[in-house]
Amino acid sequence: MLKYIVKRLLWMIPVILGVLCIVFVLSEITPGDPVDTLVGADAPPEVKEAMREKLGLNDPVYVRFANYIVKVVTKADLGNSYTTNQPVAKELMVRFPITLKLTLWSIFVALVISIPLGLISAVKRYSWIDNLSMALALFGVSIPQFWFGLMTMLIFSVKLKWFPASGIDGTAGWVLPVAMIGIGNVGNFARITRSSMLEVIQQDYIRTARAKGQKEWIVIVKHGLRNALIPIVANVGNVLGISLGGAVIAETIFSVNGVGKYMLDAINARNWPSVQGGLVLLAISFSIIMLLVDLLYAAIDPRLKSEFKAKNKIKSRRKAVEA
Amino acid sequence: MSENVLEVKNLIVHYETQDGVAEAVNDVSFSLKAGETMGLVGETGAGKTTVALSIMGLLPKPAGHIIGGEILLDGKNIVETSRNKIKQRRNDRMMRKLRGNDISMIFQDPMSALNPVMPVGEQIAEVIRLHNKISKADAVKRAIEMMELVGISGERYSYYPHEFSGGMKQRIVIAMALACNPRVLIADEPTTALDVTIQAQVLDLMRGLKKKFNTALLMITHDLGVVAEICDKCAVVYAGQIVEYGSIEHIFNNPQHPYTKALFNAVPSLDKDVDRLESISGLMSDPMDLPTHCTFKERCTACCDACGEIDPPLTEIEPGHLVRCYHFMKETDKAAAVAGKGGGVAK
Repeated sequence: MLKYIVKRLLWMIPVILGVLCIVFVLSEITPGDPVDTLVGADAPPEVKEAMREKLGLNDPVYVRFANYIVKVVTKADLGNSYTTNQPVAKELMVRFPITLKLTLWSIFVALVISIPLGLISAVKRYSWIDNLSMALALFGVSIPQFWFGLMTMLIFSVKLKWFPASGIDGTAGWVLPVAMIGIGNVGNFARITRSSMLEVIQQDYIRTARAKGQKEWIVIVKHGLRNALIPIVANVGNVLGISLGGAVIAETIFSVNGVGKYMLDAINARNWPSVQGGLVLLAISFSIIMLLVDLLYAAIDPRLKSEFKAKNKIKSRRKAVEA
Repeated sequence: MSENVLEVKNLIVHYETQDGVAEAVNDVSFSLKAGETMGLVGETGAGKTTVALSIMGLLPKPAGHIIGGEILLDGKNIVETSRNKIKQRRNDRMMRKLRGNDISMIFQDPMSALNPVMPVGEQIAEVIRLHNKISKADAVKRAIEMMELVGISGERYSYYPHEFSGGMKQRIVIAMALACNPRVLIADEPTTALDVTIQAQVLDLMRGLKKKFNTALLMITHDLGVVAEICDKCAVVYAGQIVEYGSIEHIFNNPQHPYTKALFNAVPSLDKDVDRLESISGLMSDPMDLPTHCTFKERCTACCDACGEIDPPLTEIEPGHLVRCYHFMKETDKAAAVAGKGGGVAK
């Protein structure tokens, strides 16, 4: 198992290099000059040139790429932000916990609502409760996130004044951003839970469990849910990985100082070190989450674990034969 | 003579679907004593499994309904034909206490009958804990005992189903079904999914355990060899009706109903060299559209005009041997049936 984890962690290196490659190429072909935002578009050419020289922007893109990699690998330095002249790593570390907290809470809330909803829908298929919850789920999936965010802000912050419209000082500030990110996930997770559960409750082992005289809801939860969990976990992992890159819209609307907003600002200012640093962080966190998802699979479904073990066994036997 | 453990009386089961009502079981009656084994034989779709699920109270919802009849377990009726929700729920609760405890079932496919994410021992212990007030440790001990009883090492308690072969899985399923020492065991084609040598092992095992626990066994199968191997009596089912019912000697040595005869004809013989296996021409009547006359008439080689008029009742042709065929009806019954038909009071 440990070998597998180490292997997966090592695989992150080419992934990050690939991501950086793309970012450097994109930064090269994107119109707009970071110097314009730093010293002003009307600044005299010598000033601009000096600034460009100072930031190393006059080097060809592959030199910059190599320099960046060397700095990251040798000094763990992601460079300094063009706009604030602060180390990018430091700036990200301030913002990442905020984004992490926002994402985890919104996914947690979405799961708590959507899994029971999907379960009930599957068990009471075609009943009014199924129709209602699936209509709600469809609503949740198809509603534009930004519109929902603005509407909740309008109703609950501006009109009712229950929650602050911006900032996340105190618990109340978290409610609306969490709800905004959560709403789409509720729909998503509920629909997956339902379809996965529908498949599972037609399986023979569910009938076996009923034939034991087990209570219906225990049959559903104990024997059904765990078998239905794999597609749900896969989806939650995906959503988690993507949201961690920054819930850009929610962070912007509610002025949450997270990674998403940081990167959006950086892109607007052509602040390449910040964009690169943010993307490295995203690639790492995404890879780690995918690793966790795969480990969770094995924990949920013993068949996957033994498949992995069997593969290893075959490999080692083959090596033994060759030796 | 001991009392009947299980008695099914005039059972009628319908599946109500959007396309219409499928009359899956029409007036099936039989009885089982402790330690006795009955075979329920018939082709696919004859209603064998539906009879079994009715006894278990596990008819697929919401389509399956028991329309009429009684199922008596130790003389107590366990069927609720009323559609009243409260009565249904009360019956459900009662059935839950019986299932796995007094009546157990072994399902057809052992590959899919076990929960893939739960250790097999735990699955056996679950049913033990459900029906006995014992501690978890004791339940584990009992489960291990049951595993040893069916010939699987107790050390494999925490193995998962995918780590067993098909025959071993079926042993686990049998251990699970017998864990609470049920009065009635229903085996729905327990050997169909297994290969022949494993079939023999599993049948041997079941016979041994049945004797040991004095369990009544209802063996559902379409394999006449299995019936000959293990059963004391046999009912041949066709289109939701029992067409012939009798002791194993009656059915095997003296089959009378044309369908039973045709079934035996279809069994390949070791000493005859044939190019083509015998088959019964035609298809079984659609349960959505059953004829009012004899359901086997269209495929019957012995049918006459009267077969198209009369739905024959089960007639006792020798003690304990019943046949549902016009040709075996008593002359007085024939006359009465024709008169009944003519008088417009069908059935």
